[in-house]
Amino acid sequence: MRHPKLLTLAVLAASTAGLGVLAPAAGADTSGATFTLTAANNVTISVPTSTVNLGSAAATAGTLTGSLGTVTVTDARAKLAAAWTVTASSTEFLLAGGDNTKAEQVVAPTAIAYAPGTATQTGPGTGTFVASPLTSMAVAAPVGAWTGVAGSKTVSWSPSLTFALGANQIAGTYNGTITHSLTVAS
Amino acid sequence: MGRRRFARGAVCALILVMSAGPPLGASAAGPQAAGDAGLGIRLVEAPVDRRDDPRAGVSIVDHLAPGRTITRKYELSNDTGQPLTIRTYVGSAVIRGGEFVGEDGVGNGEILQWAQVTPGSVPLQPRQKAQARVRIAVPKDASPGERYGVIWAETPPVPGSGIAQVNRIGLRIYLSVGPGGEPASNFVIRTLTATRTPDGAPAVTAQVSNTGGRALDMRGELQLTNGPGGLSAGPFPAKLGTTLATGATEPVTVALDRALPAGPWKARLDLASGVLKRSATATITFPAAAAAASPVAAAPVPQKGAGRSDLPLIAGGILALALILGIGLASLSLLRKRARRTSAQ
Repeated sequence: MRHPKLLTLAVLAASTAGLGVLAPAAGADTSGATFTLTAANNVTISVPTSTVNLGSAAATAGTLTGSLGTVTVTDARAKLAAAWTVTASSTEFLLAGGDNTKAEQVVAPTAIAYAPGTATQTGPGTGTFVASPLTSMAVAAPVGAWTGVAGSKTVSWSPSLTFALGANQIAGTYNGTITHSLTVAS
Repeated sequence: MGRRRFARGAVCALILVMSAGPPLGASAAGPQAAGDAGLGIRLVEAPVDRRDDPRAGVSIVDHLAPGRTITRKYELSNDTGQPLTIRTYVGSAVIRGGEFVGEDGVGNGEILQWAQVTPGSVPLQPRQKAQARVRIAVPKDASPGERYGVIWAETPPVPGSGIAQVNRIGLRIYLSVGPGGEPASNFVIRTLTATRTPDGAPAVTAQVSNTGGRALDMRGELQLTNGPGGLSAGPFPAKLGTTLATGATEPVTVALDRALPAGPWKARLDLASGVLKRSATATITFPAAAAAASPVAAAPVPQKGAGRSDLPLIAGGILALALILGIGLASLSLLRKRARRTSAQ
């Protein structure tokens, strides 16, 4: 009776092996296999070609407002259900040659407001662009979001910035960086 | 106090930004030349097992066990009229208030240690494209959970005094980490609320909860039927871009046409994230003035063909198992018979 026992074991092994092959590969690690995505067109954001000068204001004015220049986003993918979001944030603005540990020589990003203004849309695409103002530019937050139903679209807007100045703000030139960040959601 | 007096005393005291006079003489405020689109980025590779998932075609959406590594190619494009040196790097991201937000600079998420891009700097002539590669290596001791990041492409700010500007464009990374299979995704449409915006246009806001283990990007549409006089309207697209973190409940809004009568309507909302779909219906009436009606609990609609894809596989598996067992038992009894015969001899 040695043979049948051996055979039973073999049959059991065969059936579990069969199960292993045929069961849905729930935990299978297939992330190594990829395929190539092709596209002729892309989503792009305009590249700033100079620094911006907001002009000057008296230190006692309290605020200074100026235009940042045009931000242009082109979605040439012409796809159904296209969506992208642009966020904006700012660094501190520091007095050139000043002592940046002193509050009156710094404009904090919380004191900088962002107004997107009116957006212009060109191209055959249909959809909606929602522009959102920011009262503080300390953390990146959405300033513009496009939801497209179909077709390509170019959206441009010219944001203006308002700097709230401290009562003791020191006169001089202040430098900082504004960042627009675009990611595609769909 | 001397400093204070100086500040007050200056006539045109605060020059926030001096005129910079950049060497190229170009102006950021001026309109760009026609056809000068800008800086672009695009994912070139997606995993085969996510071929049907539209999210995986635009973002890196993946699940990795600790210790595993993946690489993905992406493409940078210079659609401007001038040569660019593009810096590309990985930053961390967060989901905040229903929005996927890349953190300032690079941020400080774990993904910064795990993901690396090569090359980090890509010079491109006008209308030129080039590929780069990101390698994501999850360490063996990584704790389970989702990590978010962005592969950024940017050009260095133009030097000069004043406001430097950086416009960057990025690919989102939704990376799930954990042993075994990917956590299941799921979401529930809880309520539908009819509202009217201050400018008089009706809208529907759905409260959607992410009840699964992965972040979701909502897309979908609303259909209105059984309206006054048997009217139907739609479909109206839902605002895209709402990202639901795991466990989060966020509103998904559908803007509607001003000409729509107040109702009542039977509203059906179909939402999807990737290949996952959920639908719900509710009877709603738009308020006459700018306000929100009370939320109406949404009744889920069963998905057509749900789970159908798994059925043949499971049935086939059971059949094959039965076949193997049958063959095994048959040969077993055959052998027994033969053994009996030999022992009888």
